[in-house]
Amino acid sequence: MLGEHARPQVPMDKVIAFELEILGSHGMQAYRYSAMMEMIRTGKLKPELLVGKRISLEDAPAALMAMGGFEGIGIGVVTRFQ
Amino acid sequence: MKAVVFEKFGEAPTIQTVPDPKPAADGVVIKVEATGLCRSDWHGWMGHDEGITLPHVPGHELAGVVVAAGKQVSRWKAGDRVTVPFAVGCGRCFECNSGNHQVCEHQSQPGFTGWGSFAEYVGIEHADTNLVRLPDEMEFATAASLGCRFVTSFRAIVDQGRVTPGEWVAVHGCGGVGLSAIMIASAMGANVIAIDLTDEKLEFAKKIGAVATINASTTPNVVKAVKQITNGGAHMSMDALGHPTTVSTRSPTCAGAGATSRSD
Repeated sequence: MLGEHARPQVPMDKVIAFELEILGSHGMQAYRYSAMMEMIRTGKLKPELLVGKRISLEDAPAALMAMGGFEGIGIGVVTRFQ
Repeated sequence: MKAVVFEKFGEAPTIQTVPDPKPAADGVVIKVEATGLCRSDWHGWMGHDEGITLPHVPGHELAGVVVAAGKQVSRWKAGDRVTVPFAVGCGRCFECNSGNHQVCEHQSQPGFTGWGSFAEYVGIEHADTNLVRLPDEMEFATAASLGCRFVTSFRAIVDQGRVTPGEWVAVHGCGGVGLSAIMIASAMGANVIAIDLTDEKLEFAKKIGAVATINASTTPNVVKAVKQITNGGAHMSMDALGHPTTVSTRSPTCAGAGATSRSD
């Protein structure tokens, strides 16, 4: 959450009254990848289903500038660099 | 090498030829085979992220092959297929020593604190601490998609949210983070409600594990809808959008003993 959305209002009355927990997640340590990789290797997780459009580096500037809007389904990936 | 470079925030990036990176003593240079497009890169380009110096090369979700390693690197060599978390830990500070490299006090982030992976090559420091070997059968494009959104969701659901089988998880937003969270929470045995503004994304969310969906553009009271579906409230609610509306509608959807996890 960045820019004008970085500091949203949080209903702290509800956090207290219902003993809610607010937790962040900032990626994951390299050593913790093994659990996830084993779930992928055994087919319990299928991240390949989330890969969306594949584009070239030449197309990356336009794609980057368009990321402010809502993207299509899945994660766009640059896969061609020549 | 070729790289996507922007000289000013908010002005169109261009493809430029720039010097190839050299490995730090404890770092590697990776030939980028795939790099993900993430909204965080857009925020960086817009100037929302402190710490970017110009000119800049974005890109932080990457996978590729090690082509050069510094003298101090002992675990990696040319030819290794790797990826790396977007938060690169120093391996020496209090947080790293306590196992929390993702919040390292001296972290570097390719594409933010330094030049990133929208390029043919990228340098990554502290390689022994941060590189992850790819399974042989994993495609580079899949591996690149893990680096930011999928691992952020894995940590949110598994390590931070501590989701257990049978719990209800409400995921607000079905972009890369949200869809990853739906897949991971479902694999953990949770019952997942997907919430988004488009039916197309909600249909896809069902295919990857969501047991219920809410279209927030046609549902007047999302909180009420979540409470009805879950018979009282979700155990965990995840903001996978990062908008003030999802914060204010999210928290009250939790049942009493819930955890609210948010990412990004």
